[in-house]
Amino acid sequence: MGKVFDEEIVTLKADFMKLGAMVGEAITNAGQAFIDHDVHAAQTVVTNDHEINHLQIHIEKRSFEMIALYQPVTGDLREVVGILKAVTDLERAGDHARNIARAAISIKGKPRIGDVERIVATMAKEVSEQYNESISSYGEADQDRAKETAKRFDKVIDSHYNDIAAPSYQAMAKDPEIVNAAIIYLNVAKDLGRISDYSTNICEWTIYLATGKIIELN
Amino acid sequence: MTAPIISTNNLDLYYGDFQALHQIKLAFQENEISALIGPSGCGKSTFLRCLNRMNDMIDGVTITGAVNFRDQDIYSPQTNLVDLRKEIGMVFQQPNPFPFSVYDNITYGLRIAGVKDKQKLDEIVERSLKQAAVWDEVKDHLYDNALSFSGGQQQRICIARVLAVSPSVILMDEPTSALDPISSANIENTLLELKKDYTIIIVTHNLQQASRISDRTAFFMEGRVVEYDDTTKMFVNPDDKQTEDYVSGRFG
Repeated sequence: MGKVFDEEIVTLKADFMKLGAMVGEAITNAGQAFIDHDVHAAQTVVTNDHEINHLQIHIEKRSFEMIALYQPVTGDLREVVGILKAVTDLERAGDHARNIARAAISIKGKPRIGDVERIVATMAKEVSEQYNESISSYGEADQDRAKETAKRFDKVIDSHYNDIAAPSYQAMAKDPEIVNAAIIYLNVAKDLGRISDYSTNICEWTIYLATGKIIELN
Repeated sequence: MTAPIISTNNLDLYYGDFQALHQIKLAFQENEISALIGPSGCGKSTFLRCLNRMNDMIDGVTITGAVNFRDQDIYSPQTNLVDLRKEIGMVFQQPNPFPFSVYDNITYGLRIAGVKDKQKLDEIVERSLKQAAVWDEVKDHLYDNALSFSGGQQQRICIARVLAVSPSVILMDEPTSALDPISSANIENTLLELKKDYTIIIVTHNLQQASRISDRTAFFMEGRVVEYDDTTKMFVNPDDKQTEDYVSGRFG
């Protein structure tokens, strides 16, 4: 493949990693804003989501153009296709971060359950870590790290979800005042769970990038 | 957009009674690579040859309309053909080095122009061969016969020969169709470097080559320009159905 393609793929990957960092920041900040009850920080996450969408569209458009202009094969094709597929996962993970930020805004002033929020905080931190590990493994095309990351977080995140759901349902049954907050906890736990799933997808694309194999992790 | 370096307006060309080009109106920007694509016999090479009056030598050719190079009509009686072809050089499909040394090939045009200073000639030989990305391969064989090199090297020597006279525009008629993929890739990379200093117009049957290296692409069919636009647009979402069919390999 010629010089221009080689330069373009470097730019495309840099844009992809930039998007990865923006989404990573959104996930961390949304989780933190929810825990800190920080409406202002949450609003920033919501506002920045437009930039994420904008960059995602740019990356998709450029990927299509590169396939049309250069007809890449083998490793070059995997680079472009991997980005084209994984960019959708990044954007969706970003959407869930935005949902969590919105939840942080809407829960403000409502009665809350401290014990549940502590589990939400732990789950948010771990999901954020899982996401960052996944995107780094993609950046380095490190399939071992991708596999290890998917495995390490799989069961843990599921169990956090259950730890949030059970007390939330119990609280709702006891106290109608808490229903609003409990539903928000369930939604946030679900959003975090989805981000975890998208992180696993990114690990799967890392393996595709490194080996050309499409496999299902977890 | 800046003024084009070379442009045509209402260009018609006849081989006897047969009209080979119809009302061609194209403008080429400086420091860009423009690709001319289209099925065999569509007129793209004929058009390319109009740009430095290479068709003048063919019997029975009639040309009407205008070809402007830096706002001067090259078909006006005042045009000096030697000067014109120094400004607008050409590289052909088959590498065609003269059957003497690399050094003499590169300096041929300069000697005709009266340059005798050995030091200056040496400098130009080195610069031209470097620009054509063949210096490293021939620098220790400058006095070997140019025909003793590989096809890809010969073609880059021919490019260097054009560069030696410092043209503004380089016309290329399928410059890699006689070469293997590695030599073609070398030439393509050379062209991408050259466009920083030159304007390149290239006829190619290799659509991937057009899409890989050109900034703009013109699609010719039956002597007419069907579509001319940014290469990305031409290969991603062209306006014309015929362009789409051709670049997708559905005909031609």
